[in-house]
Amino acid sequence: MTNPNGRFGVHGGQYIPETLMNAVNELEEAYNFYKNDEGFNRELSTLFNEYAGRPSRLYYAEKMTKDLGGAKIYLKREDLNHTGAHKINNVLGQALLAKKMGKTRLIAETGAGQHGVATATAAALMGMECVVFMGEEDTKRQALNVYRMKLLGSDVIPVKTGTATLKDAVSEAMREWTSRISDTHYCLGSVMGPHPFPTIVRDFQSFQSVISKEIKSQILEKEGRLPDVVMACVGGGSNAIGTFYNFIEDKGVRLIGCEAAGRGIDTFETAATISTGKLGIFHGMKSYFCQDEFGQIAPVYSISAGLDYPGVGPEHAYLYDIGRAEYVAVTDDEAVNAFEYLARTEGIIPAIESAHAVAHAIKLAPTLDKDKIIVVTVSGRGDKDCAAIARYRGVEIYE
Amino acid sequence: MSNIKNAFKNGKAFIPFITCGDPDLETTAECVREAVKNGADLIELGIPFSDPTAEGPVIQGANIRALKGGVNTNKIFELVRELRKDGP
Repeated sequence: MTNPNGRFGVHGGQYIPETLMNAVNELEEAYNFYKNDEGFNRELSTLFNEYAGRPSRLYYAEKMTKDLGGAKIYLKREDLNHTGAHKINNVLGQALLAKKMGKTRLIAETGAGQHGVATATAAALMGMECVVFMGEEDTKRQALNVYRMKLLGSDVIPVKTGTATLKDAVSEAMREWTSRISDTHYCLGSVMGPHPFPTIVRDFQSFQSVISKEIKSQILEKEGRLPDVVMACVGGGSNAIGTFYNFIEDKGVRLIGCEAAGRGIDTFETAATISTGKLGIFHGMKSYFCQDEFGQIAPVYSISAGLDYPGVGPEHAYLYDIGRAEYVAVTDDEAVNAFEYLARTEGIIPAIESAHAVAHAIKLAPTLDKDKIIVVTVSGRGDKDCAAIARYRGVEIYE
Repeated sequence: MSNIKNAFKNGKAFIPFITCGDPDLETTAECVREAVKNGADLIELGIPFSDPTAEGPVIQGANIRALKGGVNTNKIFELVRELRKDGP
């Protein structure tokens, strides 16, 4: 899907300061060497299976299916991975790659804290130093994850610039990388940023693409055929591209990405990039971004810190352009309802990010025949969100 | 010879950087004129951006002040057109 310059159609590329070119070139060279290296892949696959707990389950949500009365719903349980989200897939790959490159220090940005926790975990495991940049606003929304990262031996730096959320954490991590490249690898958490990150984070056999590789073999085993729909939430888009990747060539499989509409796509308090954004260049890539008429990045909003980002990965922008994937917007309200629905119906508390995908499944399933199959990726678990959802519902709890 | 090439005719050039619209475009115009009077060979005008990834805290601050003042690319090009009238 990607050409040698890291383009996905017109999207992607490398729009970065000259000072970062050496670093991304060095990374691309290392990745191209190791991606087909048998030893590297064996090591990574052992980490996936023995440490992260892969393969994750593909679970038939029978009660939800019966309750909605339409298509059969399967949940891809990325929430059951070690550290509680799909983020570990990418992080173990990048940390191993960084180690092979002789780097001793990892830096990362984080929104909800899931990627920060995953990076801190990999750093602890591999004996590397770790610094995580997190928007100050998010450090308040996700205080528990800040403590988890510190417990794992990482420094957490609250970022106060801009809207003090995910985009500002990315900017700060890029600045830090610019000033210290020799011993440091920037472990980017999503399929975004300059080439080669979108290609590395997705990969074609492990990293995030492992999600669809597993779904495919699991659904063939359970149902003897491919699903009709696969869907996932989209912020930067790493769990979604992981869910889509091995189905892109299977034209009969609908790919649906669920963006965060915040308070609604007709308000300014939204983070639904494909629904409301325009073509632009930011954080090293060309893609769709929420911006004003002069190209200034819009201060986006979503209840979910992990989807609260004004851009989307370039491969998603491309899949949208060519009409291969659909993107829908899901509001805070719909996501919170889905969060509670899945907890009550299946006994699974999804991350508020993942609840955006669940919310769309709740809408879609009843409109499809009973012989259709939907796979929804539950990208993470929702323990981290309980306090915020309680606040949303006006419930006072003391942690 | 182009103005830019000409500026380097002695090997080195003095090139001050000014963030446009910090805190307003009148100040920017004044700074440009003062810089010229004081020997600037070239002047680099910065267009403020909401999320200046490659800038340190000082320029970041200038960008934020400028955007708060309501500057945009149309106004900046207008300013440059005006300033060029005084130049070579």
